[in-house]
Amino acid sequence: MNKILLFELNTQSLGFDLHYVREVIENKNIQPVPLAPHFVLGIVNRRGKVFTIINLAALLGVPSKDLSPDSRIVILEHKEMDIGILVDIINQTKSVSLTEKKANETHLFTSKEKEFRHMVLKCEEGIHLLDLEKFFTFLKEGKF
Amino acid sequence: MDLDKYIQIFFSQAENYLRESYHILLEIEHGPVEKDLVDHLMSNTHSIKGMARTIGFSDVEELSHGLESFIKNLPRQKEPVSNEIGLLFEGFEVLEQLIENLKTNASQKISYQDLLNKLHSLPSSPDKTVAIPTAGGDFSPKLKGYTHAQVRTETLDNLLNLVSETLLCQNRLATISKTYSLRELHSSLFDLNELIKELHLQITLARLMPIKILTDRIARIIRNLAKDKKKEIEFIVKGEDLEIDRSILEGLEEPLIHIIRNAVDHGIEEPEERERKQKSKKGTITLTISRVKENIVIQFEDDGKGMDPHFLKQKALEDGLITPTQEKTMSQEEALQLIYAPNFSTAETVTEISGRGHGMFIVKNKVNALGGSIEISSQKDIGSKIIIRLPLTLSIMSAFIIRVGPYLLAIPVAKVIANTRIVPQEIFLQNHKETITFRKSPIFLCQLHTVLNVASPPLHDGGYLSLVIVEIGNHHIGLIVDGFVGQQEIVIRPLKPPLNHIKVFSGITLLGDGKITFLLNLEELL
Repeated sequence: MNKILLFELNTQSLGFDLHYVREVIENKNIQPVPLAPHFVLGIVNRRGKVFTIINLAALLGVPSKDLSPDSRIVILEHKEMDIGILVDIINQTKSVSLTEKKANETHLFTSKEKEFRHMVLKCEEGIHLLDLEKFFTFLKEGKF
Repeated sequence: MDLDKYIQIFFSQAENYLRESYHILLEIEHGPVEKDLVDHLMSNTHSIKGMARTIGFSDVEELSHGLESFIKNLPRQKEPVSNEIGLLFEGFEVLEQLIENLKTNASQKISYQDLLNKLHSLPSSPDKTVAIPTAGGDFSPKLKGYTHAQVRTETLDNLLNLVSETLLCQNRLATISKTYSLRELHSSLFDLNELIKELHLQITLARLMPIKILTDRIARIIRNLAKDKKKEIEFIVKGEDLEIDRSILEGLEEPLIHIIRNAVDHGIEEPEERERKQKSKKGTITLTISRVKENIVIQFEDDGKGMDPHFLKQKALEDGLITPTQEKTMSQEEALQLIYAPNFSTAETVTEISGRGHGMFIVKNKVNALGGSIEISSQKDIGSKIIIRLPLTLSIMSAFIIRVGPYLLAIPVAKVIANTRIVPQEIFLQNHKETITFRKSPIFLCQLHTVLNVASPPLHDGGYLSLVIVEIGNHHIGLIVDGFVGQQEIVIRPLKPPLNHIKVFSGITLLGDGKITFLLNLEELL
């Protein structure tokens, strides 16, 4: 069983492995970055460390919702990258068994980034799980 | 001491001994075989052998023993002993491979028996049964007056990061002190700043490594490559005693070796061809390293076949990199820049005929990533010259902060020639580019607003524009900005994915008030 953090993007419910989550912070003081890819919302300075904030909705092709007081930034744990993900609502954590299936409901995500569709896996209990390793590789390779 | 720790020490010391040995070999290759040098060489092999025996690395022990015996019997004479030196080079290289294999736990077997036989049979080595000198004998390294300690490179990196973070913290405090006009805090912070600067200097000094480490390696590469290609090449190094930051040295390794390989492979002609061209049979490659202001300048020169701008243009035209009109109007200097294009010259014919260009795209990228610049000049049949300029240290620098639209950007002070103002009427077109005259020379302008996709700058009261004139390689360009914010000591951090794919920036930095600023990669603006 793995612990999953569940959150919402617009009306779409998604989750990722809690193991990668460093902290959840409020959506404040995001500075824009010139010439950044369209899915980069900006950067924040968090105790002297600079995190790049990803607009996951833009990346997945889910219609973006206006920022609300409920939106949060999930700061992720990674050796080489300092990444935060903007989500609309944090729901709960849940333990699920990770027998993953490829999500075949690709109509859910209209992302232009073809490979990004493969980053969403469907696991038991109908939860859509984001494959963060693939997500990090995508950011690293820079084919956007 | 546990064995693992001892093995780590062995690897690190063996690396030093090997490096030193190569240097000695290069020295005696062309000069007299001096006793001091030979003794030193022997002491190195002896030390490697001793440590290897303790750990049980029998292959390393056996080969270093063979080398040691051979060195002991080297004729001490005024004339170079090229055959013997050649064999020694081979021997140390195999020894290095053996050690490298142990380090990486590689399973592939390296055979060195033939080499051992050769070491035993070369005439200068009659003595096949050399007694193993006992430790503490003539060859033991001198411990007295030992003033250096080995520090893990990781520790040095950490120290530099920590001092950088301390400086940032001090900057934040300075902002607070200024906001609340706290005079006493202000003077303490001033002292703190001086101390941090001194600490930074000391750590920077500790991180310096002699560039000789790299030039010796290059000398070996040239030696081996020239032998393979049956070319005669003299390699001259000037200024190898300079020391530079280890991260820059590491970053420099790949591009420099790339350039050197190209030169040996395609630049320097074969002896017969050189004779036909009435050049000396032996080609020359010269590497000059010097320090100019806050930069390290590495000048590379060869007297090979050079590059033909006409040919480069033709090739670029064929590949669709340029249009026929561009081909006609392109200057010789511009044509040489074609070799930096990503898809240029991968075809074999180009490297064969043009003499250089293979992978120069990668070289340029690597140099730019270090905050440096590269420029090239070449004359057909006379040779090529490449100049690389790099900053002395990477992490802390004095920067000029400018404002463009909503963004703050940093430029290294070392690159700023002047900041001034102009009125739009001063701008004219030259080669279709916006130009002004500055100190009697034309200077191209760069609208940072266009580069960063923001609205054009408003004219200041009085109808002028703010301009920063910067130096990029040997070019000057004028950057049109919204305004100047000030000058600050900044700590550069590398851009991490996905932002590292934005080529216009080479780093990120936090200002005292917590604002995030990007360091402009000036090279990309050319």
